[in-house]
Amino acid sequence: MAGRLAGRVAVVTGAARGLGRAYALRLAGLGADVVIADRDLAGAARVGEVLTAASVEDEVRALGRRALGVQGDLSRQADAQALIAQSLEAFGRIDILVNNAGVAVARNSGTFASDTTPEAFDYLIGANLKSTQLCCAAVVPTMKAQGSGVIVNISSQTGISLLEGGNLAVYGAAKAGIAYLTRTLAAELGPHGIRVNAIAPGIVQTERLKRLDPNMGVATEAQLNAIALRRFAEVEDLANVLEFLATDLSGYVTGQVISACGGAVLHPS
Amino acid sequence: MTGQLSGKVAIVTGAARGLGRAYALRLARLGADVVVADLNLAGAAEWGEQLEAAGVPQEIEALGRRSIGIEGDLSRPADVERLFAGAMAAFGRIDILVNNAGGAIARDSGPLATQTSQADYDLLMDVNVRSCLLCCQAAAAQMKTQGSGIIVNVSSQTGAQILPGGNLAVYGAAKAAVASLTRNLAAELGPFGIRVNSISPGIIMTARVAAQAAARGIGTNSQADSLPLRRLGTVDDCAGVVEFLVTDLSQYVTGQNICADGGAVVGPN
Repeated sequence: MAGRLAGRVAVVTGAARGLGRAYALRLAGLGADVVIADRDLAGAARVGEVLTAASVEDEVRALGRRALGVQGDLSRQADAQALIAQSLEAFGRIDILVNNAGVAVARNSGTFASDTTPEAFDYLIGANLKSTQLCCAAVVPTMKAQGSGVIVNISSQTGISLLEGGNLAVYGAAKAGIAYLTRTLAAELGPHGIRVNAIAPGIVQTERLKRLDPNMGVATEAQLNAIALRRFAEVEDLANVLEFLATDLSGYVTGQVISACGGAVLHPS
Repeated sequence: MTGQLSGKVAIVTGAARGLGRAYALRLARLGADVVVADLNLAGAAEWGEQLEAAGVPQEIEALGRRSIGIEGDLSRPADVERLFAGAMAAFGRIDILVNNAGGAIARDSGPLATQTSQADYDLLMDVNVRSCLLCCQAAAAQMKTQGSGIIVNVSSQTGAQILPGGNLAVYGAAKAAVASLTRNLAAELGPFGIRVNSISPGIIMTARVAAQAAARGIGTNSQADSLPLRRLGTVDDCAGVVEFLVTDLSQYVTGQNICADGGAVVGPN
């Protein structure tokens, strides 16, 4: 349905590669102009992800939409505010914010609750939970002034259900925090015409994951058999759910955390 | 997005009026042939709901799709068997089942848990849970041979969260059971390529709700003001969520319950 988001402006964080890139390109395909935010706008090359143009911004432009790239560390308030300010300067409004930026693993630290270093804790909470809150806080005055807006946060299967043995504990806590934040923002911002929902992706076969060490315990045979649909997610699966949440199909849906995990999580979430 | 479901065959229960009719018409607009099942195929007239043709099947035919109407009480196994046999005889396959039939009905007792008579308990469980299970069983048998299928059950805001004072208690319990059944069916049928999800509508202004609003205290302005989005739902709001759940947009989503309630439920569901 090209044109469904014509005239809309979207900001997608962590959009230089992987899932964020897929979200940005889907929104552009639906007609939106897109701001690509990332810590490293050239990040795709680093993980061997092949683009169809020189950058994700150029890929958006090839779809006939306007694009802007903004580099920054969104766990810093000044960078989050600068992202929103530059987006407004370029396009004059912000209709959609997709808070996709995040990180699952910190360097020089274990991944369980008891062996996570204080530095890794701050890093994981900052890169996932704090960056989401800062970007929401930065965009809300604009959406309130417009009287409308759509925010889609990215939680995780790990935020609504445990990994085996309690793996990726602080990442999961940050993603659980994002689900909670999503609900509180929905309650706060609904009266201003702003909808806030989250996607909780299961294990997605991004380029980065395909290259990850199997000993990390991600995308194992046991995990595959625990998925009702018996396959890992593709980026398009997630972009499809984003399309639902970013368009009027979800016009009466807010405060929901939609699990796109092939049926790995089958409890209330 | 006309044609997205072309060649697909859908059964929608409780489709002669209200929400079920809106689901049936949405599926037809997306390209599906639709079997309209209802206890009373002429039910729209009872609540002053205006149709565009003599009946819902004729409305669907006016959209260029095939349709038949089948009357029956879907809490009776023989009627369910007749519905599915009729659908197969007419269209040869079943791709989509929307279990919309049901309701918060009581004949001789009050809406609280301690007031509910045994007769009304049986009635509420029959029309909401037994009918859903029977139709899922019949559909699953056919969908397994096809190797694919989509089931959308209709739970309720009242199934996800209690109403003030414990109102509509047994109806809520029945709808909570529908959500649980949905998750169990997702786990069981996922390996066969069958997705099963549910939608939980909030307070939706159907012709029937509008006609009874003042008398029942449901669908009032004060209820709208208590919702984050500050408005009651429309049938289109729910049809948008059903569109998500019956199309490829939700191809990696199964076992999920999605509230379309303007933010009334902002807890895990």
